[in-house]
Amino acid sequence: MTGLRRWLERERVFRWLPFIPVQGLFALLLFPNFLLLVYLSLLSWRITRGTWWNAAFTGLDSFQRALEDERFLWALARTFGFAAAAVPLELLLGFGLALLCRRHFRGRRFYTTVFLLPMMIVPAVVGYDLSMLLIDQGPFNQLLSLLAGRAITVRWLSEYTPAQLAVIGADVWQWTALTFLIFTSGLAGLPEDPIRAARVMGASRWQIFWHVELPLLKPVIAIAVILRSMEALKIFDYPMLLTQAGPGNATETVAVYLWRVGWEFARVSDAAAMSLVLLVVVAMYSFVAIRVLRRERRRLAEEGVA
Amino acid sequence: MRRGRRKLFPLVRHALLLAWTAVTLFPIYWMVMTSFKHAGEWVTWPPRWFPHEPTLVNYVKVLTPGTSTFELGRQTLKILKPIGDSLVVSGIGSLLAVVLGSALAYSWARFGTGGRNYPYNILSIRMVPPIVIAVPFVVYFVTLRLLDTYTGLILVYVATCLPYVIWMMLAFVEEVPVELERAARLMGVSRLRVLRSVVLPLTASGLVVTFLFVFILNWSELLLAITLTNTEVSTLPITLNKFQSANEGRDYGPQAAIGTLATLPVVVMGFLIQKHLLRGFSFGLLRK
Amino acid sequence: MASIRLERLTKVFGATRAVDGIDLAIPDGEFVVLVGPSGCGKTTTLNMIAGLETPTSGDIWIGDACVTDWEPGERNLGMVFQSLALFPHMTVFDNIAFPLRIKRVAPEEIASWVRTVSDTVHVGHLLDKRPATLSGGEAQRVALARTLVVQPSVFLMDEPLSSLDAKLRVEMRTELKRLHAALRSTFVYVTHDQAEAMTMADRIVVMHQGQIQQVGRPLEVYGDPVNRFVAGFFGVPAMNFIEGELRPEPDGARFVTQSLRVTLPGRGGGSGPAVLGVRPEHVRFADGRESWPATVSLIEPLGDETLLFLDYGGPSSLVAKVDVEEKVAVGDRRSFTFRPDRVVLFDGTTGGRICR
Repeated sequence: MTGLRRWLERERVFRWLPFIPVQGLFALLLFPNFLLLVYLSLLSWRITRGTWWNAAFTGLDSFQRALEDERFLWALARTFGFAAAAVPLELLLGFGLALLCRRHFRGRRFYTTVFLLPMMIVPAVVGYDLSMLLIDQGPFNQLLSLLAGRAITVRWLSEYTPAQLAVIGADVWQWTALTFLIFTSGLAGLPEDPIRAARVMGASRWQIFWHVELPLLKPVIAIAVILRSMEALKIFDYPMLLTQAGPGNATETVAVYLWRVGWEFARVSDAAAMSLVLLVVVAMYSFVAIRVLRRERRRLAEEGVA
Repeated sequence: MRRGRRKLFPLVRHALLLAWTAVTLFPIYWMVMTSFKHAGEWVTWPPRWFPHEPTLVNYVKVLTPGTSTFELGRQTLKILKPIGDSLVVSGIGSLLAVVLGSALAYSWARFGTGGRNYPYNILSIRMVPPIVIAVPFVVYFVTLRLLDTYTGLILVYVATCLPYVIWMMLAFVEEVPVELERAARLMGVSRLRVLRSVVLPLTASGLVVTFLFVFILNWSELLLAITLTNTEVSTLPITLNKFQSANEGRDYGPQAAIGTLATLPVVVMGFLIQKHLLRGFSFGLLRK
Repeated sequence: MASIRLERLTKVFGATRAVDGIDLAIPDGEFVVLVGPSGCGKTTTLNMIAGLETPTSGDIWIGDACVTDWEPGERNLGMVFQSLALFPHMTVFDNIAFPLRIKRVAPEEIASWVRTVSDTVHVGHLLDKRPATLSGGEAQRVALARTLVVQPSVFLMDEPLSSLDAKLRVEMRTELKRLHAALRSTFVYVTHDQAEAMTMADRIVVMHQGQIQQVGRPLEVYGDPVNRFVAGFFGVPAMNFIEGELRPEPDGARFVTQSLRVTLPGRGGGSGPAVLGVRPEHVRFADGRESWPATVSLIEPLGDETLLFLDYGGPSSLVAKVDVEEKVAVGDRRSFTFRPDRVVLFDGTTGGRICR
């Protein structure tokens, strides 16, 4: 017993203790999954037709179908489009709000509490909630009419562009909370003395922001961009609950489409092939993202407590 | 001139912040209000901003066991079970993820276990869209008899949340002074004991924040849950989705009640640890 | 060129009065050191002069202008921070050039200024490096260069040498003094290190609990402290304090404890509880009428001098600083006395100086 404990205490052993279950989990769950994904994509299998190990091997046919499937390519493009619209908005709003709440003033606690609320709400609930607000004769149109001073009846959920705006709006509404949180901790963690030094030198607020604070915040901005963009590419809940990916396919993201191909249309092999295509696209993006992140962290380590 | 600017700025600030406060609260307000409305007030023109006769009927309908089943197309739904399932799956899943992930973060920060790039490799796992793994997961889980089980969903949640846990905890672990641990080691304290009595108390707030964040992710997760479960296990997001996709006659009130109930526990937890939240999201990317 | 004047300057943080109504006039070109234990208000005072903190009440004058409400950048100051506050994301060149760029100086001029200044403080060869790769002394010089480059009329320094090792600190002291001699600008220097204050200052301002205790030249403050706090703050090892009672005598006064009776000729009046202060270098071996026996309990050789701890029957040992040539051993019994003209007396309750 003590022998075992002594053995576990040795650094060579101890350091691997958390490593084993984690790697084991990945090895058991993700690795076979990936192999299965590749294998399924090479078959021609539908859930409704027999067992997968009996399905016919058709090579790269499903890949060809995937790349010729316009609906898939559109869903992919649309997803990137949503991310490209939503993420910059979230970053700007979150950063602006964090700047406004930076110093202590009366009411700061109230505002920060409120601003963090959206990220604590289940996205499915957000989707459903907004679907209630955005009905043709709903409170949102009423508010718009009030602000505009004339009757506004945008059919948010059943017209092409408004529905897309609704999905983007849902993402922005919910995840500005996270960017606000990240930037607030970032601003709170800025070293004070360089900023004070710049003030003594006569730098204006704007100059301090641009030449001192922003460069120091660069790593935090990087992580916010990476986190949000990689999550925005997964949008699934909002279209599902808000618009049922409609009208037509106006809000069908790649996640929704793949889910439909896999389960509603039961074309598992096609879904697998498209998943692999998606994986390649995402991998290219994450390769860049991770390089950026690594560079920022390395530079931080070099600059240290300077 | 300076005086004038000083007086004006707080006003502008409050105006901007109040605007976003309104944007933030409007949907939440509407949901909570709807959950207290009678069926006749769900959809009206002009919309009712207050329920004229507040009622708890939606909550009663949704919460009462036995009578809590109500018609919705051909399926019947119980809400208590999804709440329980959600609690079990996200609670256990998040806890396991936090335990494993923080231990791993510690091991990497102190001993470099797994190599220089390990956290980055782990992070790339998080970048894989869940839909990509959903398809083969079903096939795999059928083979392992894990489909539609608590164990299956929990395992998946642990795996998908580990990257976040590791990255968030790295920041906290790196803040613990190595000297403290060395001092304890020199006093003859075992490594495990050092973890428990030095590292754990110093990273406690980080652990809480990380747990909450991961809990929110799991509590909210729809895609994997809807794919990997069927009848035995059913989480809250799935229940909401079933409501919504059943297009015939929308049950706004009970749905709003479910939404409010699903939101409440997380918001309460968020309030309790707000102070820690505000400094827990630096991901080790700040200068000390 | 600029003098500085503080009028009833006060800063309150919550319930504590960090700076409590201080008045101070610093003539142009003087090297003033604010010194005191941590929490005495010296850094807050400096920050108020810099404009980084707004006074709760009182005014600050620089030159002929009341600058209390001015922005820090409008006051034409240079400040060196304890943490040095170099911009970690900029090279040394960019760090030094930053204040010039803020003032929109032409690029060619910036380059030549940076070159001149960096040669003055010997960092010319480091211009392409980043602050993190510099040694403590180099970073210190870069911080100095960045302050010098705009030729401010007032230099504020907040414990700038505290991050250096002991040897480098002593070297930098000399260098800063030289710099002051060359520039003849006003220097306000904050430190908790009494040796730094003694060696560098034209005048020392001793602060304690938000108030100025004494202002004076180094030797004045050292030799003629106004109260027990100032007396105890300067000098290593610290002044010996002996508690006792003061009794009036026809021709002066007499200080009495259980084991000592010190006559103080020529010191007027006063009676009651008092504290006698005597610096270790003013305790000496002597036989005679006014001397008392003691046992040497500990010896600390410093190299140039030797410290002796003498047990004379009082509650704590008396420290004496004697010549290295003095032959003593632990356990020796010797008689000692004080240099009567250097003995100072403080009121037993208020700590104020009495019987000058």
